[in-house]
Amino acid sequence: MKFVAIAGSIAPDSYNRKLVEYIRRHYRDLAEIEVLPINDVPMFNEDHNVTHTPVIQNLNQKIAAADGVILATPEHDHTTTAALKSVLEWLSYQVHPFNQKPVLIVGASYFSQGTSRAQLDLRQIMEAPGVGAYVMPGDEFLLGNVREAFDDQGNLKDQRTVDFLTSVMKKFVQWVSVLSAMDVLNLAAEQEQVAADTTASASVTDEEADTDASASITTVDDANERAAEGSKDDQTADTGASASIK
Amino acid sequence: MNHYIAIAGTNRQGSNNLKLVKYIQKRCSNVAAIEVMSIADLPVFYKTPDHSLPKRVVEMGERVKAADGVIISTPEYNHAVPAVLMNALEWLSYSSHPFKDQPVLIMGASYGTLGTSRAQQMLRKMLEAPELSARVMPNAEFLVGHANDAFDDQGNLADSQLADSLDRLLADFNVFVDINRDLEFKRNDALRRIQNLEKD
Repeated sequence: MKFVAIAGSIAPDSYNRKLVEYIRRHYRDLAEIEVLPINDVPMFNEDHNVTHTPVIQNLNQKIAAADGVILATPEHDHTTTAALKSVLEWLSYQVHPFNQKPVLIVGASYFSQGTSRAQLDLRQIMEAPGVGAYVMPGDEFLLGNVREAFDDQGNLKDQRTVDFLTSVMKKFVQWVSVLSAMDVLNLAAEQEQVAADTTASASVTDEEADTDASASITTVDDANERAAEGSKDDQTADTGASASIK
Repeated sequence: MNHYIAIAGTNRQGSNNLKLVKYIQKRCSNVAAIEVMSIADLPVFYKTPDHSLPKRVVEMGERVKAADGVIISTPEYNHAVPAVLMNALEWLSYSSHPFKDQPVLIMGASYGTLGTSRAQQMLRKMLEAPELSARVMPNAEFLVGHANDAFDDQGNLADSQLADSLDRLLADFNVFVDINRDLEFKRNDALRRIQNLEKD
């Protein structure tokens, strides 16, 4: 299996990056894990669209090709970080590599909360239409008091913590396997349904189909684009497309 | 008259949330002096090892601190506050804490029906975190849905009932701001713990 991992911080001494580097090394028998840096990603700005530049396209392609994504989030102001949110906004605006992607959320913090609030908000973001990820539910890996958690080699010191992380990683591998099997079945069924809807509600010519939003969605990708254009401000209640967003 | 800083949580020129704050500035000019402050073009936040801040952040912090209160209009991206606004707040809650005890009024405008309800919830939570320690006006949600149709050509809210309710909201915010001046809390534990971290 191939995973990519992103730490939601561009700080040179980020503990969340230490965490993903540890995961990459320690679990190489479970999966090949590549850590993707986000330092060169500019702040999301629709007026300065860099979707089609190498910085975003590289992330887009690597995430799309991966079997799963691991996100390590810090917690600032009782939520996830702007650095990570900006990356997610670029990757849910005109490209959607997280769509149907299995995701694992972890996090490390200085004090006892272990990023509990940040992880909940990140989960909410990842599940929003336009992002559409399949975030693994259940166990939460909350690494608190992180300044004492690693040794000089960057390895987690506490064996119970390692054991718990191992169980979470194994569950994630299982999550990815189950979703990969489901994914193929769902996508095929979805495309059949969309084709059936289009045929049923289409008017005589292709041109006239534009008057009805649902009839003019000819592919699942169109539906995603339509929702995505509106998803920068909420539009899920308005577009019929939201029902077919996976 | 109270003096407020108004922030639109966007870096997009055509933003409806920018329209909203400019509209409030105009409409409520007889009850408050409102100054719109841009949050665009800040570097992506990270904890600078020497705790230094970009000059612009220092200047923004001084303006926030000097104001009687802050009005924030937030869009909603992916069921959450936009990164550009999160980013400004992260800079304004690291090493210096100008939002501490400042009264804040939250609102937002969205394309769809929901009017940024989820982003406003998240923003409220952020502002109440110890690093920001703001005093968010309670029981106040101002949701502008269908924002592309909400403003006329002069940038005024077309719905007169919505505009009237905005007047009442600003009137209440003025009361909240005045009362807040006398509200001194003795506890500072959570923020002090953060400030100790920042001294390392």
